[in-house]
Amino acid sequence: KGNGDAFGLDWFKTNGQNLKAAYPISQFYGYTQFPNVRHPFYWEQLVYRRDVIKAELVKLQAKGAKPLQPSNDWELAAYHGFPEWRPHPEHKESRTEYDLYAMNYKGMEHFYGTNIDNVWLMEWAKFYNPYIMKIVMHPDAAKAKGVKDGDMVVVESMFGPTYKVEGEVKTSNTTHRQVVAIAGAYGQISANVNPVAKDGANFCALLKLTSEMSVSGNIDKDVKVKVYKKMAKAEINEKAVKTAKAEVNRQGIGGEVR
Amino acid sequence: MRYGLVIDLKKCVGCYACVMACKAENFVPRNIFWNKVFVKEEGKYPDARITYIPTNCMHCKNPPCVKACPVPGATFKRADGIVDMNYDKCIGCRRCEPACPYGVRSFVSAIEPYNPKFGFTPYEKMGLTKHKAKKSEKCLFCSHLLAEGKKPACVTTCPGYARYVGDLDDPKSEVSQLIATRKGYQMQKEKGTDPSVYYLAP
Repeated sequence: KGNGDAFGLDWFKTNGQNLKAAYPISQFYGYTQFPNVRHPFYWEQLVYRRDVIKAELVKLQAKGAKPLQPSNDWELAAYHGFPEWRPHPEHKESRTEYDLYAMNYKGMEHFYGTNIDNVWLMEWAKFYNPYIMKIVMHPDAAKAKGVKDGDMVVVESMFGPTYKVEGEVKTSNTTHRQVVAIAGAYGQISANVNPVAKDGANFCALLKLTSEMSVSGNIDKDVKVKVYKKMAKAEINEKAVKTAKAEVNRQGIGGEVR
Repeated sequence: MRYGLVIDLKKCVGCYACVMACKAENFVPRNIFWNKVFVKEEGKYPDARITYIPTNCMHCKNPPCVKACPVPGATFKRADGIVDMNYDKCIGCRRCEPACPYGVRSFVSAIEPYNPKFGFTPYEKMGLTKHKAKKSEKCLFCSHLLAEGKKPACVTTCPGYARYVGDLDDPKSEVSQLIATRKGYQMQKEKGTDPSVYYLAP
């Protein structure tokens, strides 16, 4: 039974909404191991857990498992009781060519990743939302890179040339000068999603698991990137016209089009 | 009696719920939107601001689309102010599209399923009776709901309560009061169309 069971409908009729302090403040910090501590500075349970894991690993090795490699030491090294600050991977990046930060945000229509394969929402996002399916940059940053609205660019992450996405540029003053904003969770590659979810730039393609996330288990979502032009808008249009003309000629509609 | 719509841009959060509610209520075909939300960006970083401008058929008092239509009765003005359509009479000449200064007319070139491989869904099949290919379409102010005493789908669905519907001819109605107190304005007033959709400034 939870604490709330003590307050029935009658209680609410008398007292209204539960805006009064019905519980002592200490109850909100329900640490079972440390009932008198509100903000433990030293996390003993992590140290305890490290010892348990270590013992388990020793047992596994006794059964014939491979011994822990020196490069795997970090798995246990992160289990210590004191808080520590570690720089984000992008803070350690010193190469000047990776001068922009890629950030992920959510658009209104695709606030949750699960509705990206909704065809109506995707139809709207693709044809009418000016930002959400594009790579959004500050106008000054775009100018410095020599790109304009509508140009096709490649965003390459600091983790290497395989960590990259492509997309159409949209310049906007809603974005910081040092930021490349890529929305949502588009460009999904799973075979088992609606094909409409495969459109757009896949932000996750820029990310890589690093040792900084060993305890939290979360992937670091900010990454330094470089942006370069792949194709100008004029070239894209020219290519589209050429393809359309070739299609018309192939079908033999209304004579040859040059 | 003249039906009117007031859109409070201060309350619009750009959630596109009106767009989707319209699509769901009216079985609007693929690639067509009767209700659109335009995005206007102003200012420089960090003071840039985005304003969302929901737009549907303005149901003008002097509708240029009705004047442009060569077939009498295909697009017509009702006594209650709604610009209605008779799809059976529409010949799909598309003259109404450039005539409309608000760009709310859409031409249905073909009614296609969202996934051509699997055909029409049961929901899409329900819409097949309401839409026809090679016809020009637009928002009909959910007149079927108004006839039942209900409000249009975009109005009831708006989570920010940014849309109000009512009688523009009645000075005591909520819409008339809002227009008077908040200085409601019409889009492209200089065109002389006298739209029934008013906006309240953000």
